[in-house]
This record gives sequence, C-alpha cells and structure tokens, in this order.
Amino acid sequence: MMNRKGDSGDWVNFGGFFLICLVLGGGIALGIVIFFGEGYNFKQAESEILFDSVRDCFLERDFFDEAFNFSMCGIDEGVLRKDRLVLVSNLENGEEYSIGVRSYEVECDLNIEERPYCSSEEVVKGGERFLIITGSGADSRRILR
Amino acid sequence: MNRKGESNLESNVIYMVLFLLVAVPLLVFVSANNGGTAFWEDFYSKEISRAINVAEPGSKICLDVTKGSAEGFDNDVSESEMFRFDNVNNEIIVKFRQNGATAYSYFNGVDIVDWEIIQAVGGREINQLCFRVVERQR
Repeated sequence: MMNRKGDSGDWVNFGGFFLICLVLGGGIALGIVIFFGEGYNFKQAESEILFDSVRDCFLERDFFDEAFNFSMCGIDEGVLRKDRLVLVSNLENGEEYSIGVRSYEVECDLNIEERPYCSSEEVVKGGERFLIITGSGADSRRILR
Repeated sequence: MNRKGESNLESNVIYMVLFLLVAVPLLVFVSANNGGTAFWEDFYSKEISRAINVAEPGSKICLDVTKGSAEGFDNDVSESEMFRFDNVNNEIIVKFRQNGATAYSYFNGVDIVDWEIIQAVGGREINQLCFRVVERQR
C-alpha cells in the first residue's frame, strides 16, 4: 500500500530543518565576515603601480608596433591578460592598444562593491596626446596546498 | 514492502546528508578564517606583490612578517612553507594554516630567489621575509 498516512510525518520537519541549518550557517559565516572584514582591497594601489610601469614603458617603446610585447619592459604579459587592463588610446587619430580585460574600462566607473579600479592620465609623446588607462580587478586565490 | 522502519532510516539518512551539505562548507569557511588567518594570508600576499612590482632586478628586499608568521607558527606551519614564490606563474603563495594557502600574482617580469625568514635581533622579536629579485631566468 503506497503513501500511508503515518509515513508523511517523517517529512513534516524537512523544510524547517533545512531552513534552520541555512540560517545558523549563514549567521556564523556573516558574523565572521563582519568581524574580520571582507579582505584587503588592493586594486586601487595595484592599478596605480601598474600605471607607473606602463607609462615608463610607453615612453620608451612603441606600443603600436606589431613586434611590441611587454616583456621588453620587464612586465609579464600572462599576468596582465588575467584580471588586469592596459589600454592606450591615441587621442589624435583614435588608434588603440589594449591587453587584458577590456570591459574594466567601463566597470571601473560602476558603483558596485566588487568593481575593478582604474588609473588614467594623458601623456604627450612625439607631439601626440595619448590616454593611458590601467586597471586591476585582481584578488587573491585560495588554494589547497 | 514499505515497512515503517525502512522509511525512518531513509529519512534520517537524507536529514544527515542535508546537514553535512551545510555543515562541511561552514566548517571549512570557519577554519579558514580562524583568528583572521585568511585575512593575514591575503594581506601579506598583496603587500609582498606590491614590493615585487616596484622592485628592480638585483634588489634584495626584507619585509616585516612578524604578525603573519606568528599565526603560521601557532598553526604548526613550518617556516619553509609559509612563503613560497612560483616563478613560472609569477605568484607569491602565503600559508599560515594547515588546510590551505593564498596566492596572488605580480606583474613584474622578474624571478624571486633565495627567500628565507630571518629573526632580526632587536628590542623585540621580529621575523623578516628576505628575498632577492633577479632578471627572469627563462
């Protein structure tokens, strides 16, 4: 005989039990986050350090040359491609060079908690004006070793 | 044959599984944040990366890591495990707890060699992480 009346009692507290687990767990996790903070936000500082390195490199090298790569300036391109942005725009003719996460150009201006941070400045080189934007959305990575 | 005993066992097992689904991630989270250890790993990995990013090849850098290394010693992490540099992926790995570590990347294309924790002699005990920044060797 299927679905006896007594059997349904086993599942009466199912939702309540799960809810209590979630509320207790969430409460403990929230308490820890509030007490210890959400981590160390390093994005603004990193975007400024990156900007200084990129500006020095830009003044020495031609970013718009096909043979150019950042290792010529002692910067690791693999790291730049992940969670960072370098964008150089020629303000005279609209030519652009970029590497990394291009969307940071827009995301840096959003008013959201987990946004990347950018640094930008106009630079004059060879009589032309360029806008350099660097950004960082990088965060530390938890690993199991 | 749906006996009552079998039904109770089944529901108890499901309750236990659900409980573990919530409790295990919570325990991992709580142990990772125990005493703010995860915060200190995060902090030191980023600050060390900052120092590397502005360093010139040929420099030797020493940073005060007293607070973080004390967390590591409290959690029985050996000195050699607390700070490691992955020159292939350009990462600093900081470990102050047994069940995990924190990694952060630096964009300066250099290699880090000869890192060690030394105890500076002074009015109070200070642990310093010292390392040398050299030209990329690949």
